[in-house]
Amino acid sequence: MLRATFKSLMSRKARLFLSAIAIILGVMFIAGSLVLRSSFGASIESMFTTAFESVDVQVTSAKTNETTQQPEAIPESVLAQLAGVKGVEGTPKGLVTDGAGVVQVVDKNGKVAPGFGAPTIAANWVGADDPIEMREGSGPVSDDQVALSANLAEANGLKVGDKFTVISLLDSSGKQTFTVSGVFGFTGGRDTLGGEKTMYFTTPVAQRLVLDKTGVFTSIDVKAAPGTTDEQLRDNVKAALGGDYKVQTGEELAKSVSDQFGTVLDAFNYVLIAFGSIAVLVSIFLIINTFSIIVAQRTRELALFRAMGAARGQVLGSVLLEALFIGVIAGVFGLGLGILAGWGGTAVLGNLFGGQLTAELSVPVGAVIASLVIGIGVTILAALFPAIRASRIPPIAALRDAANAIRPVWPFAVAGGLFLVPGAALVIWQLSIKEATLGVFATGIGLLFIGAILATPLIARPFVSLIGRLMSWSIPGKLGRLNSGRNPRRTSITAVALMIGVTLITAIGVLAASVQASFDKFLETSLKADVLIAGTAPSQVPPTFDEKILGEAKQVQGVDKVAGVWFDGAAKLNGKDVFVQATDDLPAMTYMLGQKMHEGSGSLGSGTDLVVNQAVAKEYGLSLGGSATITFSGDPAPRTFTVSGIIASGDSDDPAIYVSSADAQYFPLKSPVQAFIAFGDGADKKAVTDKLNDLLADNPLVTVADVSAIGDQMKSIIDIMLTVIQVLLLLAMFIAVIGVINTLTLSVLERTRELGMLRAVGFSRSQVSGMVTVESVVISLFGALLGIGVGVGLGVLGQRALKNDFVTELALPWGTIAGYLIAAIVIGVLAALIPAYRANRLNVLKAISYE
Amino acid sequence: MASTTMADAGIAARAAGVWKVYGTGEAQVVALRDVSVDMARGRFTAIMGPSGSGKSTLMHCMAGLDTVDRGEVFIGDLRVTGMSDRQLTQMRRDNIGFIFQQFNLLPTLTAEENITLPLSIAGRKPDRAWFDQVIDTVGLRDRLTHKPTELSGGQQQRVACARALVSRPEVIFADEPTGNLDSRSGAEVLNFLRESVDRFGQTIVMVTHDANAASYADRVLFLADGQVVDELMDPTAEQVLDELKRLEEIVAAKQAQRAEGA
Repeated sequence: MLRATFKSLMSRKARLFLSAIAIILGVMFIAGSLVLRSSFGASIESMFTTAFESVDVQVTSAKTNETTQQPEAIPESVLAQLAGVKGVEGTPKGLVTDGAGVVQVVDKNGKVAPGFGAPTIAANWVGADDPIEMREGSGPVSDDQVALSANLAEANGLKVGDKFTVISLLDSSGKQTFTVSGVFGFTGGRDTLGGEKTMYFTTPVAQRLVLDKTGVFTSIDVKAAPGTTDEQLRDNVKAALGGDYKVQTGEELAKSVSDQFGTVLDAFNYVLIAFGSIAVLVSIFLIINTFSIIVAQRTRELALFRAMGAARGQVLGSVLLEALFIGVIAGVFGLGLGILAGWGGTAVLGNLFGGQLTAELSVPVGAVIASLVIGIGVTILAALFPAIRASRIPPIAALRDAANAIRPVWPFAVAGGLFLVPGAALVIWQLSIKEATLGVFATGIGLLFIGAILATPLIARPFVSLIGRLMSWSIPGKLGRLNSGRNPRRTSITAVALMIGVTLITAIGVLAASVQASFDKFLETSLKADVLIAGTAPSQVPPTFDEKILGEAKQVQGVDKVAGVWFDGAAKLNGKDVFVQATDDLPAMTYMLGQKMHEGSGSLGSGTDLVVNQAVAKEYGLSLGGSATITFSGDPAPRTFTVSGIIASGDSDDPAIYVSSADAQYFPLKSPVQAFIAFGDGADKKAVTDKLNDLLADNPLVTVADVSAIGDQMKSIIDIMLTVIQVLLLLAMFIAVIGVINTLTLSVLERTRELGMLRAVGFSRSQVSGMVTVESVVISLFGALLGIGVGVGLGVLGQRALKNDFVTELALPWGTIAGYLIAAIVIGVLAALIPAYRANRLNVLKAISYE
Repeated sequence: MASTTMADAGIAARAAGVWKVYGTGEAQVVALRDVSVDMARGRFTAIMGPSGSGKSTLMHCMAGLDTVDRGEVFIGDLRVTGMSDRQLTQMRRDNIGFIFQQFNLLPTLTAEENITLPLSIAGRKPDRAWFDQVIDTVGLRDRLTHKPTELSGGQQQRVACARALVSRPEVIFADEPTGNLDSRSGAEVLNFLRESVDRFGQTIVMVTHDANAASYADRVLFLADGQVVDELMDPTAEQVLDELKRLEEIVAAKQAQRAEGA
């Protein structure tokens, strides 16, 4: 039996190869993701190990600053305290490092360029220690000097003696210009450690720019005296400073910093693995189909085994053994290719980091286990049903000319119903209640999706015959159509593989289009502002501008209304964390945001007035005239406010809390971060915008943005997201296309005799190709239409669920949907190429003759 | 050869000095050696011979399914030898009908659709009167909407016969048409073939190893060892059997000779 299995396997190398490729691709994707995660993590860790090599022990604050999300500053007095600790060599070094992008480089146009990729870091100069190597000039000696890393100098075209301008988001003194005193690199001739750009100032300057304070540091480096290990020193320092400080050895530091990158990498990794799993799911369908067809074709042979006395279990085992063999091969090859892909991916990502990150290869045990488990498990699982069917072939089948019986489709209706009914119930229930739970809703959607997949064979025959009718104008078209409807199960399983990817991308497309449409509608009907003053680049600390700009803007000819906005993202209202905004003109603000007053006054008369919307009033039990206590994060004293007005919330749950700009003095950022500006009727938009931009000449961090441009920006972000998802789904699509090729190839083999007859009675080669192509196109169109149908359905449900969370409008991406249909036809035609070639190269004589 | 006596009736298919060799060197098999035959128009010709005599090869070569190594093949006025695949396909579509041992119907099409398939392929409409005549002759009127799986073997073969006949080809080639049928169904099919020759003047060439089937023909050609060795006109089954027995003895003797020579 074992030998028979092996022989049968070898005789069908080509078809099994195609199914193996599908699993190999899926396994490769998942293994590649894991290897990438591990290798990239190792590369980053090695980079930080280099960076912290010279650090014995470092001290940072255990508390976090609410504005910058960085550790709090350490007072200078700690330096002296550390100097007396046992095992400390020399004087500890106080360091100032900007971890939040507070200090930004101003370019030649006087603006801050939006930065991508590795950060630009400002720090205090403590000498050209390892790993720093001076290339030209020297470190900053006086407060008007700065030393730049080689890559930063190069990016800005600067040499020693040139002028260099920065601006600090925290320090309100605006642009500040320095003279470049030196350019440095790092050990090993590197321009940067990991792509980051570095600028060193004297300690007082760094303290002012980074922390907006004097006499404080972000961290302190302590050297161990000879005979003291880093660990001993760490424990000594810990004991001396107490629990307010975090004390780490250089090694621990490298690990903890790279672990921070790790969480980002993990998120990225989960996304990749999710898409890899989709690919694996799709390949399951492919394998089910391949094995079903092979079993159907081997009916006689298997029945012969049974007639000769093979037990059912042996037949079952023989099919499963084949699956195991393919699974092992797929797992091993998938792992091998995955390791290569992961390594390549690490090198590519390393390049994004300035080409300085050495790609290290690390293959986690998990990747090896996952590859084999997925490769073998998936294949065996998928082959199980065909194998059971094979074991049920009666010995008598050996004596019959086995017409491949068309199997009933009703079990699929039952199975589909088992998922569809509870899925629909969950979704309807979640839509009917106000506070829908995402998890429950998603479960419902998932059940509907699985149900739709299972129920597909049920609609295959009518649906396929309908699509086919479009192509039955010629006899090859008609035959192709009839062939595709011949085995509804086979056709549906092939189509479902294609449907999965199309469903996902369509559902996401519908949601994205709806978000876009809702946003556009909001901009059109609610947002009455014409332009917005806001930061050019996203950063941890929002960029601010000079308050006097607000008054100047009002004076500009053509400007009707101006409302400045201040943010406090970490205030507490009656003890709970809230986001508070202050404005200098609430009526203008509410008008421009399209908000209506529910009750009370629409203006903030005094510094103790508070205006909230209904959502907040309800949550905190506030009513008009009532009082509330707010503690701002820029000042520890709690302040009492009187609710002077309540804004109508409509259907939205989004909170809104406004105080007067007089209270902005208690905010961590005392300058406005945004301003909404509405133009008067008939104002020349361009001229007014230009004038406003002139006002901002000394405020490089912000710019005047056209509100309609925000819609465009949103669109480009959504487009990028959709493109990324489409690219990631390409693999699943590719596997589905292999599935179509596989099904067609096997069908052509199965119908050799028919094809021979057709050729004998005068069917030309091009007619044979036409017939196979029509069958292929019908299958792919069926898959695409199913996917679009189910995807639109799920997308609409998703939009309904998010109706109260801003996604108020439903929009269908018709252009994209049409694109998918055209793509499906193209895929159908391409997938038919090889099977059609094989079909029309058929030797007529061999095909029809017996013996 | 015998063709001269049939010249006045016209020639539907002709093989002239045809050679067909398979394989090379030691494994070389000469399937046809210098075969020249004419198939008279409006006649029913049977080709017989022991296994390996080349009877199927001859039919395949004449029908344009296989190429010849030497010599020429004609269907009506068309020179088949040297045709491109495209021309061959068109020739098979327009000038030849086939009946196979295994019926070879398309399971997806109804009986009627199967019958009109060659016309559909050519993009022609069936001549309704002719179609009706054919259907009534094969007696399939009440089975036209059935799929092949719903028909008995005999009915399926009658559908195949109607398919071959409906395009009024120059020649119908039938390859063991009764090989898969019980004797009653076989007789039905043979009667139908006979009738189509007598009533419609159809030319039929049939390969068979069944002496009884051959007795329905006007003429039986006997092949042995790749050569036409004999023929019978208006044969009976007994005559055919006797002739076959004689041929088998000759072949056996020749093989024994060869074995000695080798």
